[in-house]
Amino acid sequence: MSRFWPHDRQIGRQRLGALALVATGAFFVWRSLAALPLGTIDNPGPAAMPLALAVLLIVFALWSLGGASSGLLDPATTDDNDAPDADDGGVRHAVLVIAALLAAAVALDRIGYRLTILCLLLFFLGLVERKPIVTALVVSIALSFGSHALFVHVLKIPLPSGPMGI
Amino acid sequence: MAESLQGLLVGFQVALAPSVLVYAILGCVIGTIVGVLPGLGPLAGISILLPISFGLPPTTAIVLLAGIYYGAMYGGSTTSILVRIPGEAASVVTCIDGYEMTRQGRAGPALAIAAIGSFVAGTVSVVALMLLAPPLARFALAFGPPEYLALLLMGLMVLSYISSGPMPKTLTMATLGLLLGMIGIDPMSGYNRFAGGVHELSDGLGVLPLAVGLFGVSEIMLAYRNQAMRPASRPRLAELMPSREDVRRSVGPIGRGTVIGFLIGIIPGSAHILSSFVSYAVEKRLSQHPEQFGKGAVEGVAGPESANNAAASGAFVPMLALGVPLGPVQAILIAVLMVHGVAPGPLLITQQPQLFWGFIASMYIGNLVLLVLNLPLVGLFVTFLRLPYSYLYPIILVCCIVGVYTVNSSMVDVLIMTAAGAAGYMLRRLQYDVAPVVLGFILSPMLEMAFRQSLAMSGGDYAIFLERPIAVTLLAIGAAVLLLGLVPPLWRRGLRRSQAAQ
Repeated sequence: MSRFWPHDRQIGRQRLGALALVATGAFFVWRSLAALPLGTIDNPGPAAMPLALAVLLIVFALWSLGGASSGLLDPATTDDNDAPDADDGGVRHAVLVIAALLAAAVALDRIGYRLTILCLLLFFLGLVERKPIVTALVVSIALSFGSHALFVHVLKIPLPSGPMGI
Repeated sequence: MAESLQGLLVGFQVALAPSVLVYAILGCVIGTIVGVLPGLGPLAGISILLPISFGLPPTTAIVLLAGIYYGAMYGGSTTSILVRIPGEAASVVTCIDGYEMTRQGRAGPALAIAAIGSFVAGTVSVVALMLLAPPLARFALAFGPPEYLALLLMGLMVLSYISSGPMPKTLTMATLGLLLGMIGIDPMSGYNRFAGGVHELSDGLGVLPLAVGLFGVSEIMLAYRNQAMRPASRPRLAELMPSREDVRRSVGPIGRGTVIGFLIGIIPGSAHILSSFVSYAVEKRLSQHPEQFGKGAVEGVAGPESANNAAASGAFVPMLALGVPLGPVQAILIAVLMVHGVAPGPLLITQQPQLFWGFIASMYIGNLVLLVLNLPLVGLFVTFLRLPYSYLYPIILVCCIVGVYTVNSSMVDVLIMTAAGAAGYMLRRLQYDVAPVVLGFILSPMLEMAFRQSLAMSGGDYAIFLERPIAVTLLAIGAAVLLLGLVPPLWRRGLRRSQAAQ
């Protein structure tokens, strides 16, 4: 039975994914009907095309859902991606990347490019990858300040500064 | 013909100007590195480096980004041959016989044949592009909104048919992209759609945050689990010379791969990937020694590598002649042209001859540069394979942030990129191909505009799509392809039922 476990789990995920897409389509249907004029059949309004596409998205997602349920779409998806250990590590890393990017997005305008990138690199090299602290510091400082100099002074791309002009 | 040669002369004057030439070479170098690094494909590479091009003149920008594109095509073969890790998706097939040749101590000839095949295919297909694009553009001048709508719909149907994933999933992704493209102010009515009160969304999500998130960020998250590096040998220059027998056996596959690749390249979608598989199958079928395939047959390297490089050029035909991107890379390049205020379309060749012919000429130069880069300097690029991934991915993330932020100096764009990255990660884990999302996103405004303009032209009469011969032909092709795609799943379902009944 355990041999079939990953495949079952994969089908379960496929169904969840398809349902999330159905929900996305439903959201756009709701917003199209609630907030925008539909127009007429011979003169479609701003809601017409999004509404049609949202309905199509629901139809195609349900089609995918049907395929996932019958196992027709991806008969050979039981690859090593589904091994629980690899899965947990991969998901953990993905969550860390997303969290770090969100933090960087918020920090950029507040503490400036150099400090944001310095913190981001220190986080990944020092905490996530557990590199020796001196190495992590040297690489992070060199890359954050070096890339700032490259973008601002060589490529003439403006980047935000933080407190005390850093 | 004379007109093309005259145009090409103008193009070389543009492309050989030091300011353009430097960026052509830079694009080739960056592209080769992108191709060599496993996990970073041309699409992710172009997306991440896109902002660098914004400060450049349009011709230089397009030359730089196209250099990255076909540079990645060249570079992708190196890791396939040396370490059996495809640098990008089109080089998957090259792993089979290329790596077997390496195991037999013939890495040098494999790299040389791949580079020569890529050079020949790249150069010949640029000639074909040069000859085909202008007449096609003249033909496309007869296109009105109904024809464009039909062409775009046909492109999406063909894409869903030939895409690597199952048809329902591809259609779902293309529709999602089209829907996301609707976010922002409707140009015809002025209504702000789905912006949710966020001022920055009035101009839409932006192709760059979406593409960098879907391809760049999600790639980093997915590649984390496959970061184990294999030791890569560094072949010396003297070892690169293929034998006379290798050359003799490669001539046919290179020729056939060029033709196959160019023709498949014009088809919508990630055709360069498909072309290498088709070429491999053709060579195996035509070979007098099919049993050697998979055991180090040089034809298995020469054909697919030629095909994917020819396809890379073929994919520029609809982009340059019609202004319609039928692949994700071309979609991003079209977006770059639009950022620079250049209107893509059939009039591009006549209105922007320097851009068009400069781009064509730069492709000739780029192919030559890449031949040099990929033979004597192959050892240098192999060095990049030794850079630990734990150092590499934070650097790529920084490039993503900088690239996305600098376009509008907006943290909202970084947030969109992050959301797109998370969505891309989940979708790709569920075996959804995210390329149609970007393609749909870029085609979306064109599609809606063509649809509403068509109805305005006809006074709301939908028969306009069936009255115009070109439009109806294109729609019929699209419908036929859609039906063709429905046959295999239904046939499989019937087969299962009959097996179950037995």
